[in-house]
Amino acid sequence: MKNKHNKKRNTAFIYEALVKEATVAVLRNETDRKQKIVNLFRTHFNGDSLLYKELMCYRSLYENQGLNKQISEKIMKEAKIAQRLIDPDGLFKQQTELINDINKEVAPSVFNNYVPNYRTLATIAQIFSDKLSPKNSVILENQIIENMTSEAPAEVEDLDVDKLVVKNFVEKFNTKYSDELLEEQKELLSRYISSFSDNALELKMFLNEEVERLKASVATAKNSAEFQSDETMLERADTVLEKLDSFAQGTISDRTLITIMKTQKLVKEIYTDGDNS
Amino acid sequence: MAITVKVGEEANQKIVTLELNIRKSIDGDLMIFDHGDIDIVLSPGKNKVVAFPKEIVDDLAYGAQNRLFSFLHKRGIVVPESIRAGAFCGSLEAEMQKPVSEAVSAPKLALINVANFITEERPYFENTEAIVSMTDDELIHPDKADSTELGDVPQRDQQGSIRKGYIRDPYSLNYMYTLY
Repeated sequence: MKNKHNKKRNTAFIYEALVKEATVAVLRNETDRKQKIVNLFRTHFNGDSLLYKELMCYRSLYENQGLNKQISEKIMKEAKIAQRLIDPDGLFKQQTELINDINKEVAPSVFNNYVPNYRTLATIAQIFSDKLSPKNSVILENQIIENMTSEAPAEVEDLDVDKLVVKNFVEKFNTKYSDELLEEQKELLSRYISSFSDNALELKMFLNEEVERLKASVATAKNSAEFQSDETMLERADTVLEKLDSFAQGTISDRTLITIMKTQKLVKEIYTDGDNS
Repeated sequence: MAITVKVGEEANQKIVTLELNIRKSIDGDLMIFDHGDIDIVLSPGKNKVVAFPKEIVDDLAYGAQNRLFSFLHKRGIVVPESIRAGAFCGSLEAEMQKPVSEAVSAPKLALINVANFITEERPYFENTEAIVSMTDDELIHPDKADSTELGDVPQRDQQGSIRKGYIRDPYSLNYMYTLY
């Protein structure tokens, strides 16, 4: 079923879009903009306005959830009657004035604001219009009633992470990685974690020294008799040195850190005897 | 009127006050963030001055690093032959001179000279920052001469610069280049 829907003539949509705009203005600390939107609410949605009356009809259909079917059907019937009692010409005129005020005082982009229940609002607008066939009208009404009778989605409970959980986590992490990570790897990680606060300067300084140390260690190892007697090992040592040299012009990235941590482990292995002494 | 007379070595000491955006790291290095293009680290523990590019490794940052070490070298703060490229992130580093007397602190002298270098360079990098910010502002908030109000573009029979017609049509002379 395809029906044309003009969102600018949908009172509830305009109301929701304006609420979104006001929220954005508050969050961005745009006082003037927020005040203009509040003034629009006061002018166009005051208790006597036709727009307010129509908004109430919309709200009685899209804001109720968890009701039984009988009550929902009664609300639907009453809302339709209340909406039909509103003077259509007067409503059209007030809508035009509101659209005009939004375009001139706030911005035409207000109508592009994302309203999550836009489809429900469009369906209600179709029900209120007299252009639907009886069959389509019943189908759409049924959709809205189903929506009204469904339970509101349960809120996800915020799990309070207490100190005990954090302590356990830290203990488990330390037990698992205290033997696996080398001291220099732990230092690198701890500096990486705190690097957000100082433009990573402390981390850069540490890596400047660490890469230098690794280069010297690999170069010394390369000159040893063990390396000199094995061509493959010499080639691999050159590759590692090339990689370390490339960091001189590089920046900090996950890949760089992983490579440095692997090289730290390699250097440790080179300089540790088979019996780990 | 009471007169205060200071006697001894401390009486001749000069108090120097510096205003810098500076932080001390866990291992005692002083990290100076004031310069627009580079971050400077003064490491008393390793007896080094290291300069890192602030954002990206480029000629602009290298220029600032080069000027810093020339400045420090001319004032006898760093060992000239020790100035070299570092191992990470486009850094440039140099060793501080060893002071002849214990009364002289090399890191303190280096800090004062780095502060002087930043003061000397400040107009240059603040000007650059102002130009960048002005360019951004011109794009985000153009003045009336460079902008048209949304929705107020007057309607005309013909709009834009590329219009239909024999001369303006970009494909009209295609046959000239056809291969037979």
